[in-house]
Amino acid sequence: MRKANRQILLLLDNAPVHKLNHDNELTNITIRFFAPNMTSVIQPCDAGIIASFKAQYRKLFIQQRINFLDTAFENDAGNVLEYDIKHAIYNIAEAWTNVTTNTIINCWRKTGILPLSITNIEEATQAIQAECQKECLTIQQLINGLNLADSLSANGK
Amino acid sequence: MVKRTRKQLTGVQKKKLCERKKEMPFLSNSDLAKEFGIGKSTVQGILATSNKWININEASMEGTRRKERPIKWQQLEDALWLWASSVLDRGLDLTGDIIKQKALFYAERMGFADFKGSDGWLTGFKRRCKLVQVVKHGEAASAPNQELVDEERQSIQEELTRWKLDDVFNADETGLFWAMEPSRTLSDRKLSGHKANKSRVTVFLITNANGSEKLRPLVIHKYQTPRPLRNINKSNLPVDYYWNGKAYMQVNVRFVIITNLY
Repeated sequence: MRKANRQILLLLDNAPVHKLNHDNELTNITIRFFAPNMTSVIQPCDAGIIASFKAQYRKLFIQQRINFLDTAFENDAGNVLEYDIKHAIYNIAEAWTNVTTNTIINCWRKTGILPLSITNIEEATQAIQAECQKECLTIQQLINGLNLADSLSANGK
Repeated sequence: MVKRTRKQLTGVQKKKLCERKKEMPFLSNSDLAKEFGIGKSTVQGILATSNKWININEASMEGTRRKERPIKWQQLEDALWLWASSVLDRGLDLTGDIIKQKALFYAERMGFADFKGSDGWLTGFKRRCKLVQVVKHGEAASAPNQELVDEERQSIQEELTRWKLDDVFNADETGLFWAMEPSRTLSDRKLSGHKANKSRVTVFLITNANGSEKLRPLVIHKYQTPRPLRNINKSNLPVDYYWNGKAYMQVNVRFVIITNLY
């Protein structure tokens, strides 16, 4: 990202820690804060990007549980899942990679802050929902494929 | 003569009685009295207000109660209801204690010395006004009204016209319970839960408006070097790893991010 001479605009929410006065030192970044309390409506990250990321993370987490259970049964090993912060970190990175460009574009559109016509908001909202449902379905299928006493809901947070 | 035991009909039964009289007008009051096991004059009384009984809602309280008790402090309740609904209109919170206090205030003003604001009265009042406990959902109410939102949208839109979408970024943080065990599990037996694993990290995600650039996620954990990461070069991790005692975003971390972007 340290590209020379690139000017970027960074949209941030109004959490207190975000309000720093480093703006002066940053010549390449313009920071714009969302007006108070509006982020839930107009911030792209809140419009579905984070939700999508978490769904992807959950998918990986579940997939690993499944693999673990399978091997545990084969080897007749104990039932303590080894899952630590290292696994989590790799899953976080992978989940973030798995968030599609489409999802991100749609989330930006949904917020209605892009210079586009209003009709696109509806469209984008529907697209996000459809994608979300698809994601949930995949997760649920994974779970159902398990066919074990250990299962969870795809919508679990 | 055997003494008839005292019997009171429920609303539904009274309705039936009235309907029966309607279907078969030739039945005398004493026939009906015998059939329903009540006194003749009671039948007369019920039939006199026949319209009311035929139209009652069987599913509601009217259907099951045997005796009508008038609301004792009607005037007070009217005033209280006006006040309560204006409170709710303003989006403020209402609790039983608040209602009681206000009721006592009105009672004093109106001179109801026997009003004590008991739990029993409160229960009745809530039922009569259809006040039920609700859980407040989401954060939508703290969002400002639509006009302000539209204004803000407009102003951002205007600002964005001066930028290429490639160069517009949004960054936000979220808490992630990375090892949350499922709270629901399919089972044919009863299970007790384990203590939920609430290990949490803060994840900070940055992306631009056309999704062409997703920056390395930033993970804030509690420890500088948790055991699983021992002997691992943190710069080889696929995320930017930071730590502080609370796994929260802190000013210095934020500064690092922004300078990273820079």
